Amino acid sequence: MRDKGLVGGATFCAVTGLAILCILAHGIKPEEMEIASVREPGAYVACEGIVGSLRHSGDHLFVELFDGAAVIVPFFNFTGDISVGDFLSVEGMVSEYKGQLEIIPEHYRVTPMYYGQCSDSLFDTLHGEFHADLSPGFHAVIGSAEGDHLTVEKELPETLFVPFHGTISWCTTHDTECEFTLYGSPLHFFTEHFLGLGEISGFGICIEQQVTVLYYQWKELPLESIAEVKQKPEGYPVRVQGIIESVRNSNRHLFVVLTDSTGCILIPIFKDQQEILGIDAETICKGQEITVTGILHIYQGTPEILPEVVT
Amino acid sequence: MNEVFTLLGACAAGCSLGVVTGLTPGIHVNTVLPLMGFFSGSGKVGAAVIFSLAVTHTFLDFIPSTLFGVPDGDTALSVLPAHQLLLEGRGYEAVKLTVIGSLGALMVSGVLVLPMVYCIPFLYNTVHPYIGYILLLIVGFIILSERSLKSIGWACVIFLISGVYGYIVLSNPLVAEDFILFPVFSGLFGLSTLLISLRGHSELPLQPLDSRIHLRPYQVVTNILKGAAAGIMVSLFPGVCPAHATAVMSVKSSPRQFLVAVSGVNTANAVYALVGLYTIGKARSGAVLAIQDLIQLDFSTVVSLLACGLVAAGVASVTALCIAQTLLKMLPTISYKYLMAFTCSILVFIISIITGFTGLLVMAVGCCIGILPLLVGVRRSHCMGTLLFPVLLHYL
Repeated sequence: MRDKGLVGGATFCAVTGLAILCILAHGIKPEEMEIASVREPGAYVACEGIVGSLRHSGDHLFVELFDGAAVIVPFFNFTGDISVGDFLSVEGMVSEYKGQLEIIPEHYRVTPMYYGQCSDSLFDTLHGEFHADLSPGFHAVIGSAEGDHLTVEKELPETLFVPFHGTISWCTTHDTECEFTLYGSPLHFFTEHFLGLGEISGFGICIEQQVTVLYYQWKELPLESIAEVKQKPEGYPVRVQGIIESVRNSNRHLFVVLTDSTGCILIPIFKDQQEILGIDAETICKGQEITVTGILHIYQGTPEILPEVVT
Repeated sequence: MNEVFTLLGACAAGCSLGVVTGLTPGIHVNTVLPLMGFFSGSGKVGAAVIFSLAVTHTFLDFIPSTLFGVPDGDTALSVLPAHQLLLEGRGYEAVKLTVIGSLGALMVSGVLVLPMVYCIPFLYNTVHPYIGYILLLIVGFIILSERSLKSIGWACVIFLISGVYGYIVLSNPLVAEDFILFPVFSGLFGLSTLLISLRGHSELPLQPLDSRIHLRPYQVVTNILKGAAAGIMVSLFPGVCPAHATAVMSVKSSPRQFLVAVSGVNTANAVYALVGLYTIGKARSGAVLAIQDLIQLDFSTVVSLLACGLVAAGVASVTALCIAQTLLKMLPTISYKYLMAFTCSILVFIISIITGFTGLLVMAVGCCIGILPLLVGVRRSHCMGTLLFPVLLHYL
């Protein structure tokens, strides 16, 4: 070996320099900011908010973090547990990917949230009812539950959330979630639970016309007479009960005429829908009483119901 | 026909930009990609500009590292062998070897594109789960290939110090993410080389511009193939950068062989990154990411872009050699000590401007680490622990 002194000096300087860099790195505190203020790639920031949506890609998890504005937080080779609606605190470097800002997490903390509606100190959530010291109305809180008692530690401002109330006029299921729309609303709603046509109220967070439902109460549509149903506008979800007056089978499509004391209405049940609805063309017959939930459709000036559920 | 002329124009624009980025220390292809917003909506033309830029850059970026000892992330390990040749009066040969390596790797890559379209998805899915272990094997192989136990011990120490250094500077926001590799590699491979070179040389020897290279044809071909193979590896696996593949290349190679192989890695990577995007939908380089934003790749687009890359490679080869000749005629007229001192000052100045005091500190620490292998006589690629160690931590 040549230059023993120089080797020792270089090693000493390298190790000392590493120690100084380590101290410098340890001393760097992220700038706490709202997501709307996150603009500069390379900045070291701390943000917190609600997990609005999750997208899995291989081993990676892409979280949409929302605090009134939204940003993507990618977790590479993620093995932890994060759910939609969780409260996520994240520290990391702002980075730009395909023109979109992301926070690459260095440290993060996930806190479960309780979303629900309180009345008479009873806090109704999707996971059960708790006694809690909350005012009547919708709430999003961090807290600790012991039995049926919830101690509230922090409450998120209601301005973060959009309340909704209406009638589900369309719904479909994806892999792990249900998407639905409300009659007369341009928004699309997403929830982990499967919902059918019905009346719904609740609240969620809205990101670009898409609402992640955090809490809801759902109930079946009220039964209406056929005369009332015929007065509804096209596309409106309805539920009627009546007696089958006639069944016509045309190329395996069924055309059922339903009648009650106020009138009659046609229920077309197309062949590809019969299995989904659990209807057997051989057994459905005149005189049966059925309840139909579906969407009012006007075909050549005549109202009919496109069925979603037949019981 | 019009489209051909449009693409040639795009190619010319890309070449011009590539010459600038290749010759300017600290400017990487990714640094100028935000300017490509100008081409948004331009589809294939914008993609041709970017791909030509990326290819040209890989031909030109060896010039500053060879002549002035100023590396970037892709050329870091080439500094010492290239600078060694410069100090022997073989600077032109060093540049020529890198041009041969790049051009050869591009041709090999072009020929292999079609089989690779089918092989890359298979290779990716097969090897991807084991990438951490493969990297660990590579590290072990590089360390154990040292000559003596003492050298192996030093190699371990240098790998670990570099690894801790890499972990600290890459996982903390000490310097803006886009620029962090500049002070890191300038310290590890640039400044350290310049300082050590200064100790023994006061004058740069005459640099004859003869066209001979001291490698047998089979050695040239073998190292071109090595470079192309390493380029495939880089383009396939996340976390594996040209520097990792370069570290593997450096084992049991003479400086001349090494220069051919290492230059091939970057150029082949530029090609296979494009093929990788087409076949497995993964963008493994900033340039390909920008292309992905501009255009939906189909096979005919990939072929068009590769054709642009070939044209750019031809132009870049001639340009690199001409620029090297011009600079090499000037260099011996300048005192080597002054030249190196000037280069060091420029390096320090640029890094202080771009990355501030912290960047200078990062470079200084990197320089202390980078000097160690030169002093104890082990391979310099152990300093690549800077990148390999954090990647290993991530995968294992």
